[in-house]
Amino acid sequence: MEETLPERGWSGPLTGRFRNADSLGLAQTLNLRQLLYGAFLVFAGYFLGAELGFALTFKPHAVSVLWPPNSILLAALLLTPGRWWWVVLLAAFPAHCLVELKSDVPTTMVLCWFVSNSLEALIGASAIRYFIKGQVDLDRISHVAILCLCGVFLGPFLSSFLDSAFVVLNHWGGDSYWGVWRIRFSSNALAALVLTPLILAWVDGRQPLHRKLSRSSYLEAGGLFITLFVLCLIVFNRLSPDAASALLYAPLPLLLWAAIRFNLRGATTAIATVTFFAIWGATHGHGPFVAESVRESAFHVQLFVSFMSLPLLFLAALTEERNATKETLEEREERLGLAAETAHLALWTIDFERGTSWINDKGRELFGLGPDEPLSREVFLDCVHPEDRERVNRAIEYAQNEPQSFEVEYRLLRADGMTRWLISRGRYLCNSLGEASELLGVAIDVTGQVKANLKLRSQQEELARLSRVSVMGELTASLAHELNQPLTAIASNAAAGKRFLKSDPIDLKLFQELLEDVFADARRAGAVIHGIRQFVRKGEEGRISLNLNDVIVEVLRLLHSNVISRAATVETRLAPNLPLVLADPIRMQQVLINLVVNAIEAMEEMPVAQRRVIISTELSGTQVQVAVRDFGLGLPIEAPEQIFAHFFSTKPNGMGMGLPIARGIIEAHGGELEAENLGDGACVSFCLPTGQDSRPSSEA
Amino acid sequence: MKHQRGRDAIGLEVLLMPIALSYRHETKVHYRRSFEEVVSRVFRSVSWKTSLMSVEGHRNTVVYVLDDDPSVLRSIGRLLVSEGFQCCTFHDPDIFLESVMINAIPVVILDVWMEGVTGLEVQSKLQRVSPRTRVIIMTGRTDGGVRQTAMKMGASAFLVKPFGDLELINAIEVALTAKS
Repeated sequence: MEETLPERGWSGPLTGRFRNADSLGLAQTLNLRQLLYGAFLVFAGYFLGAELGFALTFKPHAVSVLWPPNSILLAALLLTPGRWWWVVLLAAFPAHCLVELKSDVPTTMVLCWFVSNSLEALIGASAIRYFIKGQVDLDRISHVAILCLCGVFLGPFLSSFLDSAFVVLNHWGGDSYWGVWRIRFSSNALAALVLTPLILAWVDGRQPLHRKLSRSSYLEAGGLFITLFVLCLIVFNRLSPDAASALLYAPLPLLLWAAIRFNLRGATTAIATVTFFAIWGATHGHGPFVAESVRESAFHVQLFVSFMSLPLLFLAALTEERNATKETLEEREERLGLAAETAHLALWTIDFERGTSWINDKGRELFGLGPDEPLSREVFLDCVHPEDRERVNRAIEYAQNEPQSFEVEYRLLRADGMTRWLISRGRYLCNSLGEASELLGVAIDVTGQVKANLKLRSQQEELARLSRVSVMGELTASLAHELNQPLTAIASNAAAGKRFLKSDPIDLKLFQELLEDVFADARRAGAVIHGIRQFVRKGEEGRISLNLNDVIVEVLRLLHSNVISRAATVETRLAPNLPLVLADPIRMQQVLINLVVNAIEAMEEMPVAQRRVIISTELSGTQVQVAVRDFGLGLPIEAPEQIFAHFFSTKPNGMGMGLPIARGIIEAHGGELEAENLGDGACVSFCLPTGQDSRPSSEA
Repeated sequence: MKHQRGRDAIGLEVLLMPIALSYRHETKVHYRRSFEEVVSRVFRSVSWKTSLMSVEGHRNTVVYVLDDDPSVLRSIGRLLVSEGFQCCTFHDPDIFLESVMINAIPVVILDVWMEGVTGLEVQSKLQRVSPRTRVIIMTGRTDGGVRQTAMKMGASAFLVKPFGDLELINAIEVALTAKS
């Protein structure tokens, strides 16, 4: 564990800066003190690493099994912004010289080695930076893979060619080019595999070193590492070379334990421990790796450690990744739960493949489910109001057949007899075969809104009705005239009939015609009264397919006397074959009466010859447009829209309710009502969408 | 005006038929017609003479009625005929005026609220073209000081629809008496 010590100290000042910062962003934040401190740590690390590398060579041959300085350099580069790399290399240089000169290496060779060592770290660090922008995060499998590929393989692989060339050109030692290359590559690769992740894991800025661990975790970690120490000591140092090689697997369970329970730091530390003991044992002639030649021994150790480390690193990353996912999921679930709770949402899922279901507490309360009662479509449909059940079921069925979302509004009949209004939205999730595998849903209780809407609607209904009553009040005289005409005819016919009876012979044909007239007039009077009653009666809106031309004719019949008494004339330009609209006939009458009466009243001060109202209908696109045009005073110029404001009236005794209500009615029917000045009068027009039934009406 | 006697009651309906047929609820009535048109229609209207009932009393008295409602016209026509008057009904004020003028009708009954024109306007025109004709005004709506205006203009009676048969007949008799 020697080599980890400097890095442990180093992490303090630097990592604080690395947190949440990318390599470019943090370049500006390094001050001189930190730089010097970092440089010193690189120096110390490089020096100690080299010492360690020497210690782990096969004596008396200088065959190094593990060469740590380059890996430490690599880790230092990865932890430093690119623009400060030269400082790292500068700091490593004296350490390099110090170590090498101590062992009587010629100066040229020292410099050459420094070049090749630096090159290895630079190649590795640059390649990694190329793929990973920002901090290397060994919690992620992709980053581990990139580190292994670039730092562990590519750097040593490429730099070893140069290094071997240096060695051969300087005639240092007696080895062949490829012999040197192989030793150089394997020792450096092994160091990069073992040490770089170790340093990076412990210096990881996002995980504070003194993360609060529970007492049991400390005990577990302590127990684990003591056991690992003892086991490694026995397996790699105390056993004789001819002991059963299967004993090599003894540390494996502990390594897995470390990787799974203590993630990256545990795994890298355990790997380093095992590596250290294995090499120490081999270099001192103990343990299972001692082979006939030194090189072979070294190679065995290297192979063993490499194959052990790689999967463990990935396993640790995988565990971290899984933990992170789990944490994210839990966090999300918590947030979602909080949101659902705050919004009084019921959430549920039904997994068809596993046959399981989940529903939150609010949902259980809403649907009246027991704590452990499973949710299914049948259970859900049982709660739905019988009148809505079929509709809801159809919506779900439809969504399931071609997996998609659905939204449905329905009533819920609860066990306590109360009815709640709900809106449910659901989505089917598909499996890989495209079948619906899971249903996610949310339901919200909108009873309050629905009730408020109903109340508002009934208030609006009442207001509209009162407005109609008021219109009727204004039209009393006209309506009386409309009634008096048939009554007069009936009375006169009756009187005439009475007299005809005295004549002899009685003219039966004349009598029959007279009675037919009486009958027709009675019906006519009845129709007027019926119209009035319909017009002012309370009642739900009832929309039917309607020809607006018919409504106009009907309205003109009602207003007939009114038009006459104002000495106005009404001209109709009704489009033939007008498509039907879906509308409430009474409300359409109300709107038209309002518009026509307004138009007539607007012309009161005009000369008689000018008092004309033109009512026209036409089809424009998919809409039926009705325009009522007058030749009166026009709208108030300063604010034409004002006429739609409540209680605005230009009439001395007007209530100012007619037009706003008319507009409200038209808008409720999905149309628009607007008014414009035409210079010599005004035109108020409205349009309504034609119903689905766009066949031209026969009676148009 | 030549009165054709000896016709029976059915003749009334036959004569009134053109009026009923030409009546259109929605028709816009124009008042400024060309002179030729008016003349031709007046001559045609001569044939619209009423029938004669074999009721004694008013056998020679011709009463003209103007209203825009065909049913009301028919019923009043029947009532008057049953009472022994000769009756001619009109829905067109212009033709009515021409006819009254030409035939020097003693008593006319006018409706007030007609499409495009009021009975009061007809009354004032009538005073100019045929001042001796007595006018009975009838109306279905009494608002707007119609009664005062009508009486001021010299109407002999003002009837509010629906009125009783005797009310009408009395009014006609009073008008005739006043005239004579």
